[in-house]
Amino acid sequence: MKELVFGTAGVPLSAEPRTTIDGIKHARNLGLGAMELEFVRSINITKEKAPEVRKTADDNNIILTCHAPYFINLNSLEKEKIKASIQRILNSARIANLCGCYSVCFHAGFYMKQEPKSVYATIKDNLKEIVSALKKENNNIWIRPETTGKETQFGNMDEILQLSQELDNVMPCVDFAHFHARTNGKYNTYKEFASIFEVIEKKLGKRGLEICTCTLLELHTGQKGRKTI
Amino acid sequence: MHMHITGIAYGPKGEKNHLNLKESDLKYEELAKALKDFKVKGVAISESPNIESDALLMQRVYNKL
Repeated sequence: MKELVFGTAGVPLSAEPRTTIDGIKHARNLGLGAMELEFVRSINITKEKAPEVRKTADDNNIILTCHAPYFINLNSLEKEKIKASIQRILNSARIANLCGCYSVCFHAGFYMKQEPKSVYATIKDNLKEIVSALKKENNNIWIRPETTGKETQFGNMDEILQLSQELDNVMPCVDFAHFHARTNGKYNTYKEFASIFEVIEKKLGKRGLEICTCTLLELHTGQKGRKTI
Repeated sequence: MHMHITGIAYGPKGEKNHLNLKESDLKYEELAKALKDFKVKGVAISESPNIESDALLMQRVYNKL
């Protein structure tokens, strides 16, 4: 097993036909090691279909990840929208888990011109609700709020790392282009990329830079009972 | 780790749109070297418009190191 695998955001363009199942097989044919299920517009895999997706990924030695819908704002001013956002993450995590995904990522929300500290508290509370609901369902998928690309979006490195420190089963999804865009062109040298990994290691330990090998074992042997390293 | 890699167009307000790596200013070879040196493990997902071409490009660059 390679230590770092590369993959596509969604079904590769050259897959024919462009279905999830054919996408996974095609990713393997291309020589890649991963594919992200893009639930960005809708959760387009049913729980009935999920076992087939899982088996296809296992058979082809493809690691799956998942991107939850774009329509998520855990800091919405409207309670109904927060509720719907929580549901979208939960439903993504449920289907992703059935598909054998390693983690589910999403853009957590917007500041809505509020004080970042209070936004942090709101988003943390809502994520906590998500994590504990999944725990009750024995769903241990990694919940990964993503580092974001705009100043109006919640999710700078400090915020994402702090969430990862304070909540179980939460770890960062690191988007390098977002770092680069958010800082108007910084984060583009070896030294700056290294600084990202250094701060992750400092705040989350070595495991922040690593995959949970037990999850890989589970993915590729069908064994249950993931242990967090 | 779970990571996203793509080229990107940006302005003072941040992200505008995704670009293919070779059409962007992202120094992906330096990123690959940092990934290797820090022994980062996990999944790196290409979000470039050409999706698999940049996934394969990053994989190639990384594996050559």
